[in-house]
Amino acid sequence: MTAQSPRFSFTSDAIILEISENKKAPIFKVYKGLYTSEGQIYGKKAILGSFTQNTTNVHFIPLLPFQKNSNYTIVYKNQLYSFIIPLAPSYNHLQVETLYPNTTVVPSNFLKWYIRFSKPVNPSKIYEHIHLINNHTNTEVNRALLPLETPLLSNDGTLLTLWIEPGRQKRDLGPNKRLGEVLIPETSYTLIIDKDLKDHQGIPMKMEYKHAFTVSTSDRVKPTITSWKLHLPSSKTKEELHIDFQELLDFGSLQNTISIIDGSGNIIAGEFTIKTNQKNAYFKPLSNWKKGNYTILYKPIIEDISGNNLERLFDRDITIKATPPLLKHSFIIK
Amino acid sequence: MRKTLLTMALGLLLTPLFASTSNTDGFITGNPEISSINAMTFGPEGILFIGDSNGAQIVAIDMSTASKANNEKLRIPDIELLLSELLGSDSDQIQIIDMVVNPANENIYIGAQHSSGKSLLFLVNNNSLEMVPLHSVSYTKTAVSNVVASDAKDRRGRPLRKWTISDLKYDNGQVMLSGLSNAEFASTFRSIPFPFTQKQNESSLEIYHAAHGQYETASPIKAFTTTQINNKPHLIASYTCTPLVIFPISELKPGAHTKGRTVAELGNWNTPLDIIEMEKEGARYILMANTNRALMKIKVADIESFGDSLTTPVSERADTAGVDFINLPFVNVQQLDKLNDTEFVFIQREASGKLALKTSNNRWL
Repeated sequence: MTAQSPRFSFTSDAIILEISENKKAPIFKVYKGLYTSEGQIYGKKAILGSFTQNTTNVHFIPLLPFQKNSNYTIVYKNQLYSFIIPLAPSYNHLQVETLYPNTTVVPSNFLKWYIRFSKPVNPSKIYEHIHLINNHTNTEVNRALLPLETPLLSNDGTLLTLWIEPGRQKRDLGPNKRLGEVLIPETSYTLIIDKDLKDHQGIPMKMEYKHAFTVSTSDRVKPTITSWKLHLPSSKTKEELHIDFQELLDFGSLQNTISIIDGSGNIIAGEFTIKTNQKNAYFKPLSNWKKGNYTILYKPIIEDISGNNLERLFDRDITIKATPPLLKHSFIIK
Repeated sequence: MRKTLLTMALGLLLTPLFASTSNTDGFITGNPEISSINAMTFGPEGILFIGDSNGAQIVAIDMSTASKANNEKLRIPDIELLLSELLGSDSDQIQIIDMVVNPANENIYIGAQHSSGKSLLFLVNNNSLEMVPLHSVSYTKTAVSNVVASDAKDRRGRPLRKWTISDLKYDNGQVMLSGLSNAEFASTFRSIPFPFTQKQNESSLEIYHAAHGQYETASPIKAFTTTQINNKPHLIASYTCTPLVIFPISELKPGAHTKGRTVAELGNWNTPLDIIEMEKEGARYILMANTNRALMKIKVADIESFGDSLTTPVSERADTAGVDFINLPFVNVQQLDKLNDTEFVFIQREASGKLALKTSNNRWL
């Protein structure tokens, strides 16, 4: 820029143009990309945003923040000025924090994973970055994961639910009969999330994520609370009540589905910690436990990792009469 | 006294004749605080319904005062590039979520989502996109409650449960919506009377799917539409596990174990994206856009005459079974809506890789 060049400054959220006179400054336009002549910009649309002006500055606020490490070009008074918002060297790249379940053995009718990312992930085209590899053939398993145009992401964008194709996991549907279940017993696979997956700011992961596992036979048994073990706290303490599920349960289905009441039916205030990968849940009360009778209430939608819940199998055989589930555990604190 | 009573009675009888009621009565002007656009549909009087999963709400916006857009020679050859230019963002950071047509004036609206979490609404005009500001609109809204409380958080305070609205339709005073839970493979279909009232009076329905009369799942509905089948209002719905089913709307009652009549299986890995109805020469057709198949055409009369449900094994035709459908020569159609009586508008991933918005007409029916 020459000495007469306009003085621009840039942030992710704004372009600021210094002006020397208190008069209406000509509006500039901003384009995505690096251009050196106005001819190259012909036919392109300027970035949407709004302008504000005070006595010394004109501010352009783009509708969405400028991407890091991307080129942009300003056209102002028939001159072109380019800029990049650099990525901070200390930037924390997206990574997978946890996988639920993270077990190395899953049944062949396994239904879904939950993937916890370290920061909000870009939902657009997310399934293009997730692959299931058959380790024996070293090839990608086609049509294994269900793509949804609106991926099942938590509101903060960090928890993704990933379904195995349900049309193949449900018995007797056309795809199931023709192709069988997605996962073959005694075969090993690797779930891969490639490093091109981006976060909400458009910055890709640095490293790919891999999770290897093998497949056992299908699980067609409902979970039942009678096989769960309770480890009771002592009265006059805030010790944790520990529920040992003895089997892997579905991470999502355990959220907000367990409560504890006292002998009068009052809900005990406290916090649950669900550790599905360890087959455990812990409840820490806000107040000290008192001596007396208590009941743990379970919602019937609590399910195992094959989608069988306390009430019914994932694909229930309707020719077999169902028995009502047990949904309460009673215990006494002495 | 008798005269007074007679006058009152007459007054009561005549009131509806003179009262000027509109579906937009009670709308207020302001910011409906839309957190996400997940599904859209138009109702009567140019009212746009937006399903907002993050905000757990349905917002109704009065679009009747919007100017009619110029959609002559409608074609946007690369809508991803256009969005990328307008938003200054790489195209893989932007996703088109839904496209709907206002039947009152044929204006086409597109809902898009940016990776930052921001949802945007655009009007198609002059083969470009104009942003529709949503911070000051005439609107009303209602909350959509979660089946299981949505406030579950992990130890770092991050929310866990989510109910995502997968499709939304208006029919005969009801806003109907289907959704997917991120926690259970469960189905919840809701019907909410419109105009919305203060009291929570949504109907929440469990929908099941039985494969050949033996195995049953509580299956989530992915996409649906409403239509008349044998002169009765029906829902035509598609599950995530591929079957296409029909339900008489009269049987969709809260608490009922509702099971649809399967009329077709659509093939592996094929989730429907949009279902519309078109008519030609007195015959009605269902058009369905899918993730993994060409645009499908199904004659409603074939559904009406298809007496058997797929409750017993049937001989399978290719990858599918049930009523006949014809694959139209439009592959990779991602969005579809009826533009007018003879045309439909769609967004298609072309062989070149570009995502194009274009129209076609009922000569394919």
